[in-house]
This record gives sequence, C-alpha cells and structure tokens, in this order.
Amino acid sequence: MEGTFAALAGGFAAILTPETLYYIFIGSLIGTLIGVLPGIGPLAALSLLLPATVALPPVAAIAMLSAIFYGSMYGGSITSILVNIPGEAASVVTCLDGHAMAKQGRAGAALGMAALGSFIAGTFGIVILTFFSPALSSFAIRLGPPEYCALMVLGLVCTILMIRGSALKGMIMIGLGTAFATQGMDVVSGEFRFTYGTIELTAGIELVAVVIGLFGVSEILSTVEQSAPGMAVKTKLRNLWPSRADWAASWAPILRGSGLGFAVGLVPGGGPVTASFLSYAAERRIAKDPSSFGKGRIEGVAGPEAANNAAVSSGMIPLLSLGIPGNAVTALLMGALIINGVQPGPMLIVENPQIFWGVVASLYVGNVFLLILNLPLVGLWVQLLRVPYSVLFPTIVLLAMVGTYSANRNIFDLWVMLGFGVMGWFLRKLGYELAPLVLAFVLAPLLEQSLRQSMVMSPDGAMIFLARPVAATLMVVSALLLIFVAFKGRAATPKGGTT
Amino acid sequence: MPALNIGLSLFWLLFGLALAHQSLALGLGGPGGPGSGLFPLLAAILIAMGGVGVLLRDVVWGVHEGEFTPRFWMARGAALRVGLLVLVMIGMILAVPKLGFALSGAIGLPLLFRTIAPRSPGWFALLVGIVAAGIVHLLFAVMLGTPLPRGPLGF
Repeated sequence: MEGTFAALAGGFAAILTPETLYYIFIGSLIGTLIGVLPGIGPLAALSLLLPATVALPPVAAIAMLSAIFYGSMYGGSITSILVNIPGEAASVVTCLDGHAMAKQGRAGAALGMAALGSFIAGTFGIVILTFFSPALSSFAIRLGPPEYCALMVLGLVCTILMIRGSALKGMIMIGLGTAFATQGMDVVSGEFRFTYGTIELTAGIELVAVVIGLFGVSEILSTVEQSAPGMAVKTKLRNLWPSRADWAASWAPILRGSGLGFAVGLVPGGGPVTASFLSYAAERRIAKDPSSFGKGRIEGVAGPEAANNAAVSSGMIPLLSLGIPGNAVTALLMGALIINGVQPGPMLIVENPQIFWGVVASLYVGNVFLLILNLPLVGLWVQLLRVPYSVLFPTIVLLAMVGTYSANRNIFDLWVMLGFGVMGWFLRKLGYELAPLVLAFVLAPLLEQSLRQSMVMSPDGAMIFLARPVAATLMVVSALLLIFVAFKGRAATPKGGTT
Repeated sequence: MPALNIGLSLFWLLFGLALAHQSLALGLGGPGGPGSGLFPLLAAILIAMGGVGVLLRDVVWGVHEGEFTPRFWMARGAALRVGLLVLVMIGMILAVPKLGFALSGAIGLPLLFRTIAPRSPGWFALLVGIVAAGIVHLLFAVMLGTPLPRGPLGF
C-alpha cells in the first residue's frame, strides 16, 4: 500500500509540470468540445489528434488522449440535456430524463448532477485502478504466450457478446479487422501478404487512416446524408449546484452506476456505452415507479453519467496492466503508446514506472480539470452548440485529411481513409458495428505473435492451450461464451430477434 | 433491405473463400512453426462462417433483424450530397501533391460548404473555406511543425 502511494506521488511529480498540465488541460478542453458537438465521437477525435502527439513526451501524449476520452463523456451530457441530441453514444440515455428535466426548467440541476456524478464515478474508478493495476501486472508477468493468446481470444469473444447488434456480423467484422491487419510484410518470415505488387501496402495499412475513415469520414457521410438541421438552445441555465433533495435521490444511483460502470469497463468489449444503458435499466428496474422514468427523474441522469465515466477509468486497467485493449478507444490509446515507443503490458510498470504512474496521476488531474470546465463554464459550451454544421463539417474533412497524412506523410493513406470511410458508412447502414473491426485490427498482430510463439513452444501443436491451466481455463470460458451467444441467437429466432 | 443483406452475406462468403485460398498459398507452416498463411486463414474462416450464418438466418430460417432498418437516401437530395462529398474529397486528394493542403482546402472546402448548405451565399462559402484551411494549416504546419505538401504559392 505504502509503495503504491509512493509510486503515485512519483507519478504526480512527473506530471505536475506546466507542459504536461497544459496538455492535460488541452485534452480535457478538446474532449468536452467533442462531447458537446454531435457527430464527432471520441474515437474520431482521438484518431485525428493521434499524429499530433507523436512529438510529445509519452506521458503528455497519453494523458492528453485519455483526457479527450473522458472529457467527451462529460461533454456529451450537455447536448443530451439541453437539445435532446446525444453528443456521443454513451450519452444517449441521458437524453431521456435529462432533457425532460430541462423542459421542466431544471436543466441546471441535470447538468450539475451529470458533472458531479461523472467526477465522483471517474475518481472512484481511478482509485481502484491505482491499487488494482499493479497487482494485476505482477500476476500477468507470470503469463506466457499461450495464456496471452487465450486472453486475447477471450477479449474478442467478449466483444462479440457485448455488441448491440448481430453477433454474426460482429464476427465478420473481427475477421475483416484481422485480415486487414495481416496485410503487408510478415515480420517473421519476411513474406509479403496480400500486397498485390503495391509498394504502399508492404508496410501494412495505417491504423490512423483506418480509424479516421471508419469513425470520422463515415460519420460525416451519415450526417451530410441526413442534412442535419441546426440546433436551437432555448433553455435558460440556473442553479447548477443540485439541491439537497437532488443529492438524496442521486447518491445511491451514482454509487450503483460507479460499481456497474467499473465492472462493465473491465470486460473486453464493454465500455461507456454499454455501462450507461445497463445503469439506466438497473435504476428503472429498482425504482418504485418505473413509469416516471423518461419524465425527468434525476436518477436517470446521475446513474448513467456515473456509469460511463467509471467504465472509462476501468477500461484503462486491461490496457495498462495486460497490454490488451478492451474497446476501440483503448485500442487507439495502445496505438498511441506504441507510436511513442512504449509497449503497454505487465512490464510497463516495471520498465517505465514514470509513464505508468504518470498516466494514472494524469487521470486524477484531468477529472478535476473537467469538473472545473463543466460546471462554471457550461454557458460557454452551450454557445458552441450554435456553430452551424455547414461550417463544422468541411473543417473536419480537412482536419481528417491532414491528420491522416501527417501520421506517415503518405498520400496513399488518404485513399485508405476515404475507402474505409465509404465502407464504414455502408456497413453501418446494414447494422454492422465498426468497433470490433478496429479492436481486431489492433489486437491481431499481438495475437498472431503469441499464437506463433505458443506453437513454437509446443511439441503437440495447439494442445498447448489445453495443457496449461490458465490458458485452458480461458479457452474453455471463451468456448462457453460462444455457445451462449449461439444459443441466445437461436432463442431469439422465433421472436424475430437477432443472432 | 433483406436483398442487400443477403447480397453482402454472399460477398462475405466469397471473400472469405478467396482469402482462404490465398492464405493456403502462403503456407500454413511446417516443422519451423506456423507459416504466414495460418493467421489470415483463421480470419478467412471467421468471415466466411459469418457470411454463411447470416445467409442461413435470413434465407433458410427467414429471420430478419428487428433492431434496425437500413435506410438509404431518406432525406431529400441525400444521394447528391453524399456523392458530391465523396467527389470533392477525391478531387482534394488528387490535388494535394500539386497544390498542397492549404490551397486544396481553400478550393475544396467552399464546395463542401455549398454541398451541405446550398442556399448560403458564395462569398460566405469562400470565406469559410479560406478561414478553415488557414486554421488547419496554422495548427499542423506552423504550431505542430508537421511537414505538409506545399503548393505553387509556397504553403
């Protein structure tokens, strides 16, 4: 315990410099902005800014990108509450009661509780991360390639389980992400795979181009197609600090949301979106009068907002401790660490403690920045909602292009970005979730490496996965989960449900 | 939209089979360990199996997803807007090596602006394009020092 406090103090010492604080502040600011403005999700924003962080020290880079992620969770509630349009996906449920409260003249209380609930849950998640991650890392150091391989397989299976749409389509997206990741030169054999004589493909497909295309360009195409109207903010803001009655109604949902969100964020494939929906469903289920939900219950704001922030914090645990991202955003954060020359995983805390603890400390600081940005400055964010789409989107297109180019300084990446953008727009129309594709794209090289190492280690081929207890347990759990997914789909068939 | 769903599932099946064929050609491995084709083969199996699964569900079992209804071109002029956006982006990508990002943006962004807001005055579209291109150039080329392709005007 004392060692953890000392290490955390070291992390604070590393980040409490004007330069790092500046980048955390900028990340919090951009994150809130991204959350406030509908149409640009945290993933698109992170991918756009990823190339810009290459020149920064690793702690500053990751601290800034993390701040964008949880900042967007804070900011997303503002648009949900005031204009009934979710700023990002995790704030969809906040629209239900948050906007109803705004229509009743209680927008201030809803916004205040959303920010305070987010702060409490976010800090709760970081405290657990502080003590849990080192223990998990020290356990993970003892794992070998077969266990890692099994763990990543479990992560991908959980992703199929947690996606909101069809599991079969999720499976196709994982296969597609894996296939794209194998393009280029095989680093073990030196063979070229699926390059078709194209020199640009020999180094493989650039992650930034894939992510900006899938989440930035496809989002722009979808929004342009709908001809999104401007938003009218008519609500007057007053009394941002919740009343005693609001606190009395909200403390329990915040605690439940924090716990639930933390647990969901830990599960691969889970994340803030799932956490907020589950929290809302839980609050509604245990309420004495569930029919009053959707009509302005503050519990419907406090619980989900707490849950999505707790999920963001706990999502950092598998990334920092195991080197395995649980969702598309942490996959991108992992890409950022690798670009900055840092390999996330159990050895991170041993080999680069200043980076590990610096990132943890930056999460505490970022949450404080966000509370400051979201309570007193909420009026400023409301003004931003008046920026017309017609001005916003052309600018994002150019930002996407420059961001993609600057990652590798390669025009070919712009074509990749456009291709993935059109593909993403089309696939989303047909109910395909894109996050599993990105997750598989990032995990595939690691999975392939551990699979190969396992096979080389084993005299009996794939039997090594059943011969080692931890790997065997993980593989059996993965198999059981797959059977569960298949049965869930079959059970839903007569009702016309999904598989 | 079951026809489109079925068509895409067929595509996944064929794509998976083609990928599997190429993976086998790369080699699955030998005494030295797994070959370059083993992992892509696993990806191909996932894609093909997923395609078959969706086909079975949609055609054999007659189950259609209830959680979403894919809709194309619902709003008026949607196809035109999406088509123009893609075309302008293609034009900008082609122009970047010759004109640089700033000039390509200053020309392309007003076109994008007019695509989204066709009733806005031309001078405003031009102003938005020039200001936006200027800000992006300032941010990346000047503040972050990213070397970007330059145009005939030197930026």
